[in-house]
Amino acid sequence: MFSKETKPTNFKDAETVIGPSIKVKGNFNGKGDIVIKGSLEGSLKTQANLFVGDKAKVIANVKAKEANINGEIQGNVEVEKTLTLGATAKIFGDIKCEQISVEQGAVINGKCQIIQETGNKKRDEEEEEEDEEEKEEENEKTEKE
Amino acid sequence: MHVYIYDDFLSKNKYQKTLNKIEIRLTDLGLNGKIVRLANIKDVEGAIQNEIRKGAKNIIAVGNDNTLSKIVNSIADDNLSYFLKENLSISIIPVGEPNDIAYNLGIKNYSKACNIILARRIKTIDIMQANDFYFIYQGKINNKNTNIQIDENCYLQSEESGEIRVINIINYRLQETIPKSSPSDNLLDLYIQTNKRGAETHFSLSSFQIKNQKDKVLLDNSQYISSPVNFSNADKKINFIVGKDRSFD
Repeated sequence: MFSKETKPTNFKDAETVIGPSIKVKGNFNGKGDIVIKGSLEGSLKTQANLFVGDKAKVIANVKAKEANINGEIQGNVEVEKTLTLGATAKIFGDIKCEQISVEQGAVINGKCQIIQETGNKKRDEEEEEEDEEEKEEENEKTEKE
Repeated sequence: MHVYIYDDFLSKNKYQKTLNKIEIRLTDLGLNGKIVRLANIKDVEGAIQNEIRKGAKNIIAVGNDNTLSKIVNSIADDNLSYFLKENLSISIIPVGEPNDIAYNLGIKNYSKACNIILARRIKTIDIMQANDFYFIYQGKINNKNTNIQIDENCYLQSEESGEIRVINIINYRLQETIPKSSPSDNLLDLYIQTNKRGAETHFSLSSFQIKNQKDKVLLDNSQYISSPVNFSNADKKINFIVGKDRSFD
């Protein structure tokens, strides 16, 4: 059984809703939640959440806090927290996010970077320890010589 | 001091009974005041501004949306900005049609209006600007062939026919569609409804431009404005005596 499009249950109070027959062209910057069911060309940024409907087409680089994508995006997607790709999502560009959820049927044609803050810190700390150990070993060798 | 502004169409005989009932009710409630009849007055704005300069604290429109629009445009004039903040409040006793503004302010009919004026529930409402005109309720234009410029870098177009509304005071029917709409948030709600069901669009914006070579924008059901129309916040507010059962909080 194919899963249904994830409905925008959290987007009832969205500040911006772009309906199916609307085309937006240009650089759109918003502060609140954005729902796109039509088309947008240019660039799209919001400090809040983004929902892209299954028939929507976005030809733009996208930046949001969280995003739920079910339509087509031709551009890079950068999400601060969680990116959810529904079964009908098609991303033609690179993805950067902290967490990702991908339904069966979604298409990604680009690089995918999952960057977690806590994960990065651990990795950095481990690398620093390794560097220090290497330096100590070198110092010991030079002293012996 | 209350000043009642009677619109010129009320001079017709068919409104006489209604006006008598209103005057009796106002007397019973102790809300007597001066009556200014706009019939035969050429300089309407000057007449209203004159009453404010003489010390009127409450300006009550007796008429329809057009009557209220005349009062708002008189009050929003730069010469009177000092009085806008705290000294003055306005309201409406709805008589005739259309009276969408009164209805959405919770003032359903003329008899309830008198009680509402007595109750004196005041809300501060933004005054919005469309080119050289001021409005408080909404602007309307057909969707077809209309271009909306959100800013220098962004514009939107619609492929379907329908209606565009520029909203300050939300209509009851649209309360659920735009739940966050407020007449005191310094923002305009741009609402586009096409003929398809569920195909609605809305933005909250501080300013934008509408262009349409054929159609005009209708402001507050009273004034037609030719394109291009620049909508913005006039940075002015007005105190309105409203009803409890209004379309906003």
